[in-house]
Amino acid sequence: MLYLLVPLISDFAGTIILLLLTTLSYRAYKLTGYKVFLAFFLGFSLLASSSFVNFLTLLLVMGRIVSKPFSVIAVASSNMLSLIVEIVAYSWIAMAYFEVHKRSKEAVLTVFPLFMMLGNLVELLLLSFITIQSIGVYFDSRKKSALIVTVSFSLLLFSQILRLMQLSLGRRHPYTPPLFILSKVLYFAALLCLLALVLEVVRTDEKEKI
Amino acid sequence: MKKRRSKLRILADILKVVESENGARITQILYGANLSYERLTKYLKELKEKGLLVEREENGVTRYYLTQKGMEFLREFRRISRFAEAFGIEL
Repeated sequence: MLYLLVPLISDFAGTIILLLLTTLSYRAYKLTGYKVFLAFFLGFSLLASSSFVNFLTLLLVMGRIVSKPFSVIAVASSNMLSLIVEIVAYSWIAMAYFEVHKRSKEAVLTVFPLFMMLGNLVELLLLSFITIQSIGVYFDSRKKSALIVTVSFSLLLFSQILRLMQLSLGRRHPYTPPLFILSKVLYFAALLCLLALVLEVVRTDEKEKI
Repeated sequence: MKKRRSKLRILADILKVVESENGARITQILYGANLSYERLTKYLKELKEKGLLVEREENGVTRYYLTQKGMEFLREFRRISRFAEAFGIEL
């Protein structure tokens, strides 16, 4: 149970820090009347509440106030709730940033990488899942074709990681070398692997005909 | 091209001049806050009505002083200004 002390303290401290930011955002809104501060206020207050819910759940679990099966449900529910609340909170903060840059010519440049980043992140998660599954398939069958698929998806995964790195590092220049070029090379190598798979399949097909 | 100052910033600029002079004459505020006479008198009237400034006659010269409320406003403005800057917002 002692290992839970670190997240407990960090959640408690996090709640206080986020509440301070919430207060500052509200005071800024009160002084200026700018809607952007209202968005920051909503974002930070939601993050603070999420952190507080996590703190309370850990406290319940550590204090053994709830039974073990119930504590598992409590932790899972609180994590799920936190996730949803955090998504809403970050959306408010992102909207606030968009509001800040709305009138500038860079508005598109600030929104475009965000969507690209989100899309690429989803792709990365999916590719990770696919790669892990294909590794499992290879270890089950030990077939050459399964190995080719595994290598191919692994290369696609690495290519995706490089694309994400490129987006976060050189967001103003979407075609910044060398990450862009390396990512493309890996992508092409993955396609070559898939071509090898096609050839392998066709060759096997021809062998069977004979 | 220079950006236009918000009304809040203009009011804060006036209060800053008054604070630095510790009792400023209208000409000092005029130069310090970089405003026309007409606009300055309009803003001074507003600041007096809000209780942020007081006007006093001293040896035939009108001087402006910050009130307690004015000092608190300026302190809060500086704090919020720093906070806003951190997020790329200009007041």
